[in-house]
Amino acid sequence: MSADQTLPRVQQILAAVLGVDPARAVPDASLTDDLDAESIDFVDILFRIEQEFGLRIDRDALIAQDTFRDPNYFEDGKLTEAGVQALRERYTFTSVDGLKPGQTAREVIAHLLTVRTLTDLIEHVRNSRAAG
Amino acid sequence: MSDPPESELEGRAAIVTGGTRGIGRAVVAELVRAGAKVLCSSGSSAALGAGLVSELGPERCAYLQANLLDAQSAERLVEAALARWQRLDILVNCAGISADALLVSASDQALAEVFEVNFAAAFRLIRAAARPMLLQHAGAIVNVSSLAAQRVGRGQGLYAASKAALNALTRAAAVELGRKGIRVNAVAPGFVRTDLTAKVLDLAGPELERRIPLGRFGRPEEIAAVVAFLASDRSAYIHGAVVEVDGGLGHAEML
Repeated sequence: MSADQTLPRVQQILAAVLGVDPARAVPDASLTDDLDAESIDFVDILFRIEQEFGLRIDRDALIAQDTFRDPNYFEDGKLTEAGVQALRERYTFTSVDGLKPGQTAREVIAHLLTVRTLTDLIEHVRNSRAAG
Repeated sequence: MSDPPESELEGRAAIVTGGTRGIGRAVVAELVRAGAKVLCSSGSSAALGAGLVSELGPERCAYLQANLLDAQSAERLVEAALARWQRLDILVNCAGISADALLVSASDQALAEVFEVNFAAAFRLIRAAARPMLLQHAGAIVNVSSLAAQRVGRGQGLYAASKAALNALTRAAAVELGRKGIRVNAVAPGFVRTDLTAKVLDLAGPELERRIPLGRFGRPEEIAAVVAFLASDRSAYIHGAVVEVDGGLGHAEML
């Protein structure tokens, strides 16, 4: 199955979970800022992706909880230079170009978790499985 | 409460832990009567489980022995229910143990086991059941708590604390899962006469019964009726509640 078939299936999942028009779930759309996803929605989305694509996805692959809790990476609630580096290393499967020191956790999540992040994660897990 | 329609839970599938005795057994029978298919579990009474399946019919009732001190049991139960009924709509956390001891003499093992079965197992089952329920955007979870969470007798400290934790878990799960169409509630029975409590209640006798505003101990069926109500769509707007089913004992004057 090619990557371009992944997006419409993810859009259908987002429509079911978040009650949004699938057309709004463009690749650059932020799950939190543009599509109003909350924490329980991420669990719901991951369960549906796993079911739809027949994959197992580590919860931390989407939201790197340990990075957000690490005081070296978030100082006074703001992303540090080391944090930018750590997140780049964690999210190698997608683009994280817009991360900057000083961003709050909320801003980082809004930036990191886009529709594209989901489709890239699916491709990444699928390719790792094929390679493994 | 009048009898609910027999088809009220038709097509729904349920898990009931602690389902072979007392309140749990009555819950299994009531859910089956209302049309549900039920997987019940217990830690040790496999023969009672087999008897219940034969009494209620294997097409409506299944049994799995599950030691809730084992952390894997929750996932196993949910997998078994999905394998058997292909869905999961209702979870009733009814399994519970007590450790009658004054706090100053209660053991670490009693502490661990009471919290493991009464609280941690309920948490793990909610976590495991949440997956199929989230995929359906529907489900009902009912935790069987106790009046002891509010009014504690001497020697009931660990049991009472574990049930208070279960009440907090009920409210927390309600807050987190409500948006996904999953309702979470608890019932808090007072004194209920079962084969396990009969001896104690007989010893306490009429003195204890007199303190209950309704003047008598409860029956398992009276708790099961409320559990079935909370599991059904008739309670569609009740969420995060701990419903006392205690003959008014929770509001009785202190002696």
